Amino acid sequence: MRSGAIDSLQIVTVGPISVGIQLSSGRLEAAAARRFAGFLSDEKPDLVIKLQEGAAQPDSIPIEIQSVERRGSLLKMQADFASLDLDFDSCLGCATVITGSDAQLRNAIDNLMRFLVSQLLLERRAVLLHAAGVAIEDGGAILFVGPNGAGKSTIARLSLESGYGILGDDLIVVEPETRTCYATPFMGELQIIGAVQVATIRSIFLIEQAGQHQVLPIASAEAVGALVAQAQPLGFVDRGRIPDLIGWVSPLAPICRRLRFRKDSGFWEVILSSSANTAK
Amino acid sequence: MRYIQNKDVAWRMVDHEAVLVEPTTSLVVGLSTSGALLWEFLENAHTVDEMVDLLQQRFDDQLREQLQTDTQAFLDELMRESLLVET
Repeated sequence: MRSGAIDSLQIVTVGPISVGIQLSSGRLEAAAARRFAGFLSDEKPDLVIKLQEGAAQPDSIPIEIQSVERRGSLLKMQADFASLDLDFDSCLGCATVITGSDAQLRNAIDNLMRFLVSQLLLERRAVLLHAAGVAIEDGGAILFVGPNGAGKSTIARLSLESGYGILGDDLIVVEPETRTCYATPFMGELQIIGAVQVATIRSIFLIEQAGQHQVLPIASAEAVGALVAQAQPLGFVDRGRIPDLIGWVSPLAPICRRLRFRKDSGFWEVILSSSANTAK
Repeated sequence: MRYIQNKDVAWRMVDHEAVLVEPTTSLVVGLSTSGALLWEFLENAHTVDEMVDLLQQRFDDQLREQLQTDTQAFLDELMRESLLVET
């Protein structure tokens, strides 16, 4: 029988950042190891979070963040799945996640890490973007950006069926300045981890479902606005930092277009054809 | 009646266009070149006529009547989204 007080350290690396999670129980350790399999590393962590289990919750999967407060280097987050106190100066924090079933615990840890990663990325002028990422030739990738229900997982699935590798079907780390994108452990409906970890962004498509496949140009402000709207979690970015966020993603505007698609892999033909025409 | 930017709105110019974010609702709006011109102008309070004057200086090939119609539509939309306020 385990004592429960083991304080093991797992390091989760997502794109350019590594988070050390100091786990206070064997159950947390097992949940984190299973949830972040494929993203555990020996990197030096950018910060360390001491994680503990809180009160048991009814059988539900909570996802709502109630409040985020940033004062200087201190960040405080209260959600229905976890609470978090973080000091960016000391790179230390502590968090309590709700407990319950194994699925609830894994889900709470997952949501906490999504929030944490998104905040750390902002410190590096990078964003956690609602996008499916599909690998193409020569280490490149195409991102398909859209809100929940837009068809990211559908596009990822159809791309897999057409022989493409994917980075993910829901959340992708994007470094706009270098046009680099990274896979994340945060999965969408497909519930699979991408086989490709890092790639150079060649094109970004803002997706919407329609009766036919069509690629359309898009104005800079509309493109940047759509990227900002899909940066996670925009609602909890300090108002004062939003103009910075707009500025950070704006270098991506020239490679953004709109994709109207129906649920078959014919959209790839339209994309490849439009790319060839653009290159001419 | 005069109109002015809602000071809670975060925004930034992008290639002579503008991206606006209303932080409470996370509404994001992209404005075209002419919309961005008006938006910057509305850092201070202005009337519809003053806005149309500005557009006419910039787009002198457009009929004033058309500019008035476009300006009113722009104001209606941004007021509806609480991006502008009346003073």
